Amino acid sequence: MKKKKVLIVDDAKFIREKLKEIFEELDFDIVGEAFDGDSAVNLYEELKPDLITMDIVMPNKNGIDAIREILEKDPDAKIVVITTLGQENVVVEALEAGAEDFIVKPFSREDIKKVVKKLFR
Amino acid sequence: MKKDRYRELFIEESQEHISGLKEILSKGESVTEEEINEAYRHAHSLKGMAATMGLNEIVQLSHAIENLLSEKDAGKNFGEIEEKLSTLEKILEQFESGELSTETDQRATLSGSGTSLVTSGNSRSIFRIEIFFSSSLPMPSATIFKFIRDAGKKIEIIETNQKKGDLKKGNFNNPLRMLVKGDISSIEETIKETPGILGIKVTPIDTDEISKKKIQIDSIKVKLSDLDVLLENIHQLFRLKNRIKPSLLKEDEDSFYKLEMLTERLHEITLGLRMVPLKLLEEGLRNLVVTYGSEMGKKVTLIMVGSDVRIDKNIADRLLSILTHLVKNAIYHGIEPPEERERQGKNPIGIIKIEAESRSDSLEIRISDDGRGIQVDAIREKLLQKGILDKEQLELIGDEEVIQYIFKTGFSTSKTTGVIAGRGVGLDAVKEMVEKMYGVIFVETEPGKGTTFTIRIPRALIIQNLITVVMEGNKVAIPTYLIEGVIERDQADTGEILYHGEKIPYKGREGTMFLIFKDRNKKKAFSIEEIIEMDFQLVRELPPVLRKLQYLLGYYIDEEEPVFMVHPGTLWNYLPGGTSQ
Repeated sequence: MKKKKVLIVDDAKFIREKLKEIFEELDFDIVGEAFDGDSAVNLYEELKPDLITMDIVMPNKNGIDAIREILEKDPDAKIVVITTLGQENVVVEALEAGAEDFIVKPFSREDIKKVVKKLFR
Repeated sequence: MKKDRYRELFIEESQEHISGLKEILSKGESVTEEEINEAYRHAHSLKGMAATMGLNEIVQLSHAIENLLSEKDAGKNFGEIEEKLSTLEKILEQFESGELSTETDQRATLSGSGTSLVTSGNSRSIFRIEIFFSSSLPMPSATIFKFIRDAGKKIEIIETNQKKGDLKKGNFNNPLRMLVKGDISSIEETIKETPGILGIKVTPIDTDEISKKKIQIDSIKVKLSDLDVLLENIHQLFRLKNRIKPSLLKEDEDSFYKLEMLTERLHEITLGLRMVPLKLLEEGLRNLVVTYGSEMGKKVTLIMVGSDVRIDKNIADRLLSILTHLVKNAIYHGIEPPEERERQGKNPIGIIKIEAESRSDSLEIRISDDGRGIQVDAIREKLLQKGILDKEQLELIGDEEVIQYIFKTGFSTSKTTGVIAGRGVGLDAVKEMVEKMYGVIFVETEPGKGTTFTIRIPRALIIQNLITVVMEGNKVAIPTYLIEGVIERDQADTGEILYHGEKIPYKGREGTMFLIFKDRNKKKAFSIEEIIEMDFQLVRELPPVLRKLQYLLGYYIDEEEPVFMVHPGTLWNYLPGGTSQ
């Protein structure tokens, strides 16, 4: 079976590294990384990944707008929001915009695995 | 502390149901159908409680027992049931001793088939689902939002107790309550995938088999007229009690208070016997929504909440006509045509909801629709046009007050009133009907969101079969059980009349008829001018100032005027003339 492709979007390098490590373990192909909303949208169009992990608070276009733009172009895109505790309002907004699910930082390998399993059953 | 109390209560109640079940099982071959039904109820209660506690294994076991009991010739399954019951008991013991913590069991509910408690559900059933979330969820609002969103893709969600705006602000209600329509098993997956669910409670809210079963075996049929006789006898007992009050108070105060308590209790119980569940009105209203809705070119569903609330049979009759008017009103004025609703981003199917709630002294019924709401400006314009209020007056009152004018006699904002069949009755008539029941009605509305009518009627109303007559120019009502008969006044005025060969005295100069009544064991007559009606009336207690008039028993309202209920024998003594005694 072909490896699933994931695009990781987060402005913090530490989080990106952590996510990369976990997704590698889960046997994903990490096709790209973005640190702001603009590049997330561009990279999505270029790479057409099976999954995007999306931070919300980022420079140059926030995660919510990025989710909206991506889904407008491809309504089937699977986006999971990675967010910090205390940003519940924006999580609801992201879900409303069409994000599939959300994961709260700090996250464990298990948290990610559970969500991924749900999405790629 | 609170949690422990629930735990204790749960264990205690479960044990009661288990021993109830055991007792029935011990009957073996000689078990009756009714006992099997009882056993079924024990199992069902166990299941419901365990589901709320998140004890999935007990849920499954009691569910299995239910199934075994509902099979034909359930007696043959007793062995199997006993086995399951003893396993169930062991689990309960473990839970009691703390060996089985709720924590592990919560997990079981989450990962196991948490919705196996759903026994039935076709695409047309409506269920109330309550989902209890853990307080340790990191983002409860987002979790609940996601759950509603995902479940909504699989099942029709009629309503929830969460508002999107609140969830965005991080405000949520726990438990999440939803009213859903369809096969609940379709959201089993969504429930399993959602973190932090501690327990789920599912209640079918339309006429489901279980509740039917309960009603059948718990009740017997009694003719309503028999109950009326019983009630009337109790009223006589009341009067007798009041008559002997002075002497008995002197001789044996203690006994008098006991007697007073007993008569009141008896009265209460008898009134209770005449109660019917509001559910009985449901079918008629559903048909109305379908037929009248399609007549008006609108799509409407009706939701009834609280149809278990019990009300007096006579109140139910009156309530049905009030609800019929209000439902028609909602369909006609409130609910928009499907195209218009879609343009506004609403579900093309409008919802009319009837909620009943029983309070300590009153019954509250709310009829709401999710339609366009009442157009306050149109009402203001109309009030001006009709000259009910002038410009200055209108400026002084706020929208809320303006809206209440829809109940005013002769007021109607509809351009086509009278043309449409069934629109002959306006809201003024509804208000009158409510007021006849000593109730109040008011309305709240939000433009674009809908309108809610709230009706509140007192619970304690005495219903009595009364004959209402005109006597010497006055309308009075007399309990029918005191009436012997009515005859034409075609005899010479001799102060006495012949009735079935018996000479009886009468009073009253006017009138064309004689109303013959019983006064203790004697017959007497009043001359009357007219019989207005003979019907059940909701009789109210007299205000204190009138209680001294011994012949007055109470009053009811007819066309906004009070009609007094009199005791003919006592009234006789107050009237001049005739051959008294």
